[in-house]
Amino acid sequence: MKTTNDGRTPVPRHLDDADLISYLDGELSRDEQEYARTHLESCWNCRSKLLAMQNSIENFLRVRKQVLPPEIPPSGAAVAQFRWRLFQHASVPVTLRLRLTTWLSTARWRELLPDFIPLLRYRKAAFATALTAVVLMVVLVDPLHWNRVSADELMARADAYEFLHESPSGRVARATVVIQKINLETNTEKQLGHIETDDDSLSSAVHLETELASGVVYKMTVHDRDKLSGLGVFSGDFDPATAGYLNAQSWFPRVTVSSYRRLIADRGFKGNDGAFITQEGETYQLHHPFVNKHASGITETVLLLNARNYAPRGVSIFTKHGDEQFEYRLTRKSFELVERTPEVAQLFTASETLARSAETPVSTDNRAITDAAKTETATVTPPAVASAELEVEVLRLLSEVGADLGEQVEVARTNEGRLRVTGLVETEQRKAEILRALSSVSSNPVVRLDVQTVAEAVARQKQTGSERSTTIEGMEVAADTFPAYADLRRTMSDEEARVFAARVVSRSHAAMRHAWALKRLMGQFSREVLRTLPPEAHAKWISLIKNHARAFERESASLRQQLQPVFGVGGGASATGEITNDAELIRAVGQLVDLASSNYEVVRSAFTITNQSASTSAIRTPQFWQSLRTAEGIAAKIQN
Amino acid sequence: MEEDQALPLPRALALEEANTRRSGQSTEEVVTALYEQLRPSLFSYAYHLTGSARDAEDLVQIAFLQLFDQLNRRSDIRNMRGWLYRAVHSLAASSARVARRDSLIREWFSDLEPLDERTAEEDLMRAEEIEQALNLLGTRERHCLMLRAEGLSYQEIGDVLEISAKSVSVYLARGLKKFEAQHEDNK
Repeated sequence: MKTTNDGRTPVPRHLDDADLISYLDGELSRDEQEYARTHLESCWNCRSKLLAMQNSIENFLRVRKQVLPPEIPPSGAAVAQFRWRLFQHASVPVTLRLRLTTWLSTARWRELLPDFIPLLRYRKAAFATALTAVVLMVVLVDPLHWNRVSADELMARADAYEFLHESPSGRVARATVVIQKINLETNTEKQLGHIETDDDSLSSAVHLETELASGVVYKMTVHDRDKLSGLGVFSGDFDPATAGYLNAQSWFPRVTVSSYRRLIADRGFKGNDGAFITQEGETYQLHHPFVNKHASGITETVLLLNARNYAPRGVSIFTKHGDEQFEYRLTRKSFELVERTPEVAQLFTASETLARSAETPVSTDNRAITDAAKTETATVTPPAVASAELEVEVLRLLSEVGADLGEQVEVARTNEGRLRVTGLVETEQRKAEILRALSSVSSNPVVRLDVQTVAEAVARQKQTGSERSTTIEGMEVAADTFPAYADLRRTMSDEEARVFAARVVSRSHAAMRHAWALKRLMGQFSREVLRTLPPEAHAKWISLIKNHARAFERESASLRQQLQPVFGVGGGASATGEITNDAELIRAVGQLVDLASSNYEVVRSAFTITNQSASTSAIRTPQFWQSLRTAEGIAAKIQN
Repeated sequence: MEEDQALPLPRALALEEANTRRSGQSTEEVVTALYEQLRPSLFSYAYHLTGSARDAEDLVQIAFLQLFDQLNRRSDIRNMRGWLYRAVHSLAASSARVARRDSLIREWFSDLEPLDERTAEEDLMRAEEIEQALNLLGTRERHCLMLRAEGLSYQEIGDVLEISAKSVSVYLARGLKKFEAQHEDNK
């Protein structure tokens, strides 16, 4: 753009689009910017174009936001992963590394290594070899680099290891730590006991089992493991000043890098100042001296790390009080990631009551417990009629173990006004899980639990002799494809089509289960009862409903997205309006369940193998798509 | 005058704030700090190029590994941010060309857990959505718009795409026009 302003009248040269955007972005030269500004002041045409441009930018940003992932994965995890990767990368000598990066990153590696091409057919073997080479390099080169590695880096690597290998993701992290107290004067050891910790993978709960040297066992569950702190039963073994410091740091005796960081947080030095590293065999010892005459009496702490992989091995705390010098040595005896089986899950779910008494750990002395329980039930005389509040609580407990989905368990009132929970479940495990979930109300005399397994029910039926002849007849399957098969095959392989169908049906079923759960929740109380329900109980009931509505909406939306590319029919708006009272809520849920059932029928008939003649026509109708959207809309409305 | 005596600022200091942090830090630490700082916006750009969160994460990390090598070889990278965008851009371009990078990377770093659990199928769906939303735009126009949205200057965008700053403004303007036309249609 050139300014043709010669000092007299500005020649009205209009701005083109590139000028306008450059102007908005401040990318013009000073003269150009000035010209554009004066021109825009006088020219409506260009100004309106400028506004349109600004508008387009906003629209673009909006669409961009839609196409980007709703949230970028958290950076903590990525940074830990990157650290680890960079560390591995940095351990390879430069010459080899440059080549490796080139391979990894560009296509050029084929050209660089023509000899390598025949090997490509044996890609796996080639990778295995290369990987072995890298691992060897890491092992060989690492000790040489060691002197350069600072305490910072060692901690960072330990963090990375802990994140990558010890986070209880998917499985429960179980660690056992032995605690010893060593008198450094007399060099005598005293075993204090050991602690087993189980970090839950599905919640932030942690289960603790502490066994003292005397054999007494304490068990408890803490619902937020970040809040785990205190020396608990070991308090007496520490000097009060030391115990005071450890408690103030919210330190708990376990061998992890994160808890070690708390231990050294207030040692009187910043960060890793003054820290040093020694090596003993396969173990690195990271020493953190405490400031001279630290109030806690601690002189130094040491983090022991496995020199091969930086896994934490132990923590030592050295103290000096007068002439007495002690080392508290925590040694990790085992660490494993265990499956979250029902037995393991029970550690976290069943212990609501235990957790409540977390301050005073529960003794395993059985007699004491039962005696206490007896006196409690003897003194408290509960009302003979179960309150609606209690009923909501039972429902909530059931929903926590997913027992309110499907038709598994029913909560009903007896004529005497008691609450009766009946259920028929597949396995013993499931039965135990449900009973455990209800443990906090099971002792309540107005609650009757009658949950049996299928096997038990069958046995009971036989006993009573009222055996009904229920024979399940194997259904003849004539066809081996489902009605929508042909449509899918146009764009998919046989296997893909079958996987697609299975996925769609299970999605649809999942949505349906939440719809059923909603229906059951709604049917639980009459309007009169709802009106008299205490506010907290009412809120609890509403939140259960919202949870299922949300889950339904999620399942239904992803079902719709799966179907869309193949069977999609456009158009249609979802329901609007607001729910202001229980009556409207009941109506909305009724509507939702009806829609969900008919949608489920459509999906099932199109995607499951059947011997009846069925067609896919329903799935292509605008009615079906409308109904999908409406159901979602109602679910959304229920949540508001 | 004092001004005359003032030492000229080191070039790196003037250009990139992160460079100022280099003194006294190991290259590993510098790169990690920079990674923490620039990851979100590089991730967005890489995601737009690949349509997959997993691949985007991976590409960004490789770009930083390359930066690490680069800094170890010769440390005069004028503009690290621009450099990283270019690295991500060419990594994505070459990965699209070869279309097999993913398996290579995955085998190589098979012990690393993927950071997101979305399936490849869902990734594909996202990629298609992006394609649709930005359908009519030419590749260049799209890249310019995306980079601009991440806050890069025309010069930086030009460096990434190897075109002049002037061309960047033309692509941006044209891209917005086309986008607006399609946006109107969709309404």
